[in-house]
Amino acid sequence: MAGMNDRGQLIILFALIVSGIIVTLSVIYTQNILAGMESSRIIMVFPKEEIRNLRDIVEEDFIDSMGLKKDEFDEYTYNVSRDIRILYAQKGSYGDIAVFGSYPSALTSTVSYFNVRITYIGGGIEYNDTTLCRPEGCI
Amino acid sequence: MNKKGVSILVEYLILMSILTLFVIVMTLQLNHQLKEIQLGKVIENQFSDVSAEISSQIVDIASITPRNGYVSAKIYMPKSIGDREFYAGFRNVGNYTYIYIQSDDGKYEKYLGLGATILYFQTSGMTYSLSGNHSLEYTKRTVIYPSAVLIPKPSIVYVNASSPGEVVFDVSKSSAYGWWTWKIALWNGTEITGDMDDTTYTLSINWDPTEFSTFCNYDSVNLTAYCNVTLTVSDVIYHMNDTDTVELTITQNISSNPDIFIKKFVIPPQVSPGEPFEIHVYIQGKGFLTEGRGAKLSVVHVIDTSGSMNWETKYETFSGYITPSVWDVQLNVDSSFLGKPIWIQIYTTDSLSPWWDGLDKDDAIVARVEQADGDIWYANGELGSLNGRYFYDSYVSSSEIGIWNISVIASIPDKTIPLIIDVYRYDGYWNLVYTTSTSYTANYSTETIILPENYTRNDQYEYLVVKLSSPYYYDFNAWIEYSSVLDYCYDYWGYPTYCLEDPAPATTYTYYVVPYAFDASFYEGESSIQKLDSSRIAAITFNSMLESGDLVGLVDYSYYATKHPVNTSPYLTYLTSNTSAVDEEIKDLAPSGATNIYHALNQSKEVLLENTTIISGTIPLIILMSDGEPTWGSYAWDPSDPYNDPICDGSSYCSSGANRAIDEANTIKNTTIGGENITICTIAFGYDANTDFLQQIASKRSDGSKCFYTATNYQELVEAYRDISKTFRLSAKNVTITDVVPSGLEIVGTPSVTVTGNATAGTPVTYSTSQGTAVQVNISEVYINDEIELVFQAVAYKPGDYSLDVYGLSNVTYEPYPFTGDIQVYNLSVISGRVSTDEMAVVEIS
Repeated sequence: MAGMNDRGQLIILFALIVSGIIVTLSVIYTQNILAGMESSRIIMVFPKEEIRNLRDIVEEDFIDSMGLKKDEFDEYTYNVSRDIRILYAQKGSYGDIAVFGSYPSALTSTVSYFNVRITYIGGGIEYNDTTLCRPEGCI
Repeated sequence: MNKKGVSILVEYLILMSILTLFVIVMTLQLNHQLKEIQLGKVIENQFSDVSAEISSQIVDIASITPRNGYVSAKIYMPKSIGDREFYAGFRNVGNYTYIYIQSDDGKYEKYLGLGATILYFQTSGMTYSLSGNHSLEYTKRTVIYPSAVLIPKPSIVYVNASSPGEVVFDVSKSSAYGWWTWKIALWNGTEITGDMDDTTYTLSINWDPTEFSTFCNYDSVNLTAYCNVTLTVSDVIYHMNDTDTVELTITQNISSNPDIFIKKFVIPPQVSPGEPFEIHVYIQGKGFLTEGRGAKLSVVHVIDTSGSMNWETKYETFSGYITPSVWDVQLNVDSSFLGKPIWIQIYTTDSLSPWWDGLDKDDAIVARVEQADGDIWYANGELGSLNGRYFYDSYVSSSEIGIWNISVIASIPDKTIPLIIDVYRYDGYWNLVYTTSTSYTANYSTETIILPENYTRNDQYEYLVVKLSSPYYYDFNAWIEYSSVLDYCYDYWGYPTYCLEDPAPATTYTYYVVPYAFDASFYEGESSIQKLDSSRIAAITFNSMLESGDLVGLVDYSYYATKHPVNTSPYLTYLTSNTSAVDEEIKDLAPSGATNIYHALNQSKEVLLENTTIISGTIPLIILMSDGEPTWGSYAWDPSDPYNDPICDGSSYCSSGANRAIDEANTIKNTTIGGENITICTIAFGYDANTDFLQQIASKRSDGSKCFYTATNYQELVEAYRDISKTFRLSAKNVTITDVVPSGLEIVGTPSVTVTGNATAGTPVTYSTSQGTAVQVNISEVYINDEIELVFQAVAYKPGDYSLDVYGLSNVTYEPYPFTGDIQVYNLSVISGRVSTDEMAVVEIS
């Protein structure tokens, strides 16, 4: 009877220890399985195109519109900015291209250069670019 | 037995303890071995994941790098791997930069090279896995220096001892990166601030010799102060400043010589290699309207005398507030009045002279009775024998017993009068039961209208109308007073407060506005005179601004045009340097008939072509004013029978007459006298003028705009004539801007020049010199208040600081007033620009 009791206690003891080992190894194994997830996710979710679209609007559309008179240009860019905010909000992010200064040309009274702030917030990324744009491009 | 039992138990415990200890030690050792084998692989994989994540973020950021801003990206990493915490950061090894991850015990580490990406940014920072957040931030700042450009308009300000002068500070040509603010420091230390949303400021300047002698360079002989004004532009991103100082001339000396204000500036002051600078040379004609004529004028006034010129045009407007002075009395109507009639008289014992002489004097009083039950009645009854009103109630009911409120106003200005209230109760006879009185002074307002002397025959204007506007005229009475005349302003065809003085002598009129209603408050009104009288003032004012030696003539037109002989010279009949002769003719014009603009132009042409030899060298100018459109003068028009036109009806637009006028205008504009084209300036006067037609026949200015004005009232008409006068005031002649850009800079694009005003500028040319590339433009004349701006672009491809001109070669030469042929040279101030590469971007992990 005493011998039987001894074996039982040892079995229980070993079982507990082995269980602990298995649990520990399971956690580690799980971490191993998860390795690679973040880098993959980052590559997939980085909002490059969303940000590029904002920049393209500035560098192409806005610059193409510099032939407008200052008031017309300001109104146009304001409307675009408002629409952009709405469109990006519908996608769960914040996007804006705010022209906060435009200067008429001494030559033609059309816009000579303008200041614009491009902002994007979403997907763990915050982008902010304040540029001065001229017909030759933005700096 | 007991001893044996104890011994076995002790033996059992000892053996089990040893065995258990052995098993635990062995198991832990086994666990450690098993875990370490796995953990090494897991850490390796996790470190790879984190570093790959950071690397991916960097690569992605590199694809969208902002030019001037930041990108912040969150980094996700486990707080520990197994039981190991770790660090992540950047590390330079040799010439390479790595993403570096190391466990806190230093046993495990991982390097991942960043490759060529480090060419574009510097790395810094580190993060610990137990930190709450991890992020990667890319920042790039490109320093752009602000540029301060201050332009005062005008750059010379006339201030006399009694009235201040005004100057507008224009800072709109300043620039900076992002949002910027400005501060203007005046000569006396006063500071004016603003931001890029508000780039002009109008400053009122009072004449203060003490201040000028303290803070400015003051010329007490010529009563002129030269005061420095400094603009500071600051950007809010880099907190950098730029300043620009200009000298403002403040003078009481209206005969100070005209000159030009010259300024050179560059936008922006810093660019990247290959980006162009925009170089501006700005010229402003400065001086006063009474000076600066480079050539004499031969000007013909062409004044519309058609029937509609008899109509009225606004002379001045006015407005104001008046709170009526109200006399309030409380009357206790007790039970003794119950069931009986009540009679309340409100009157004055004053004669109300002279204001109400000849009028119904009862109307001077307005009284209101509010009974105890809340009913409100106006005392409309007229007393007749007394100057005032009465209120009568045939039966005082029980609900009317109590306190009655009586309110009274008297509409009479400039006089204090007694007001009395008598209350009668009918007790079988009219029993005076209550009386009260007060000394009353009405609140009122006055408006002053001045018809100036020396513009009309015998200083009599055809008429003057002064009236209040609807609906305010219902709340007021009005009188007009001038010389020894005092007139009440009647209700004239539904226009109360309407005063018509016909004729109206040239003098000062006082228009009294007196409340006639309890709720009177705001009022506005206007005075009007005959359109032709307005034209007389404007044309004669123009003549007064002419210089000695200028020639002036007069043509008026209705059915046909009349050129007025104003000169007894055998060589010149219709033009004279004696402006008084023309003024006298203008005073005698009278309105009637249709509008024959063709014949008006034809006759004004004849006036100018009468003797082209004499007027050669002058600027020939026709100023045609009309309040309508061509209604007379078709192709069938017969000069011998000017009152018979079979096509035009004389009252509506006549296209054949208009076409003929346009043809004649074109002929005139192509006609030269002494090499000068005849200029036609037109003024559309009033709301009925055909502005399109008048604009069509006007000459073009050098800036492309038409010499055309609209005027809807007297002031605008005078201003139009004044502006035309200004058109021919010169600040400088034969102006040449030459700007030499030194070697190392390349002129790109086509230089251009803009003109605001009447200056005539040539086409800018570019040519090479031994010192660099020159841009040059000629401007034949710069008129007072003209603005000319030469703009061209220069580009440098190597970083460095560049002078954007060559001192001595970059200059403005011009013939200054009084235009003796001498040439003055103004060397352009040396300005510099910076060409720099962008500052290195930084990627920081934290």
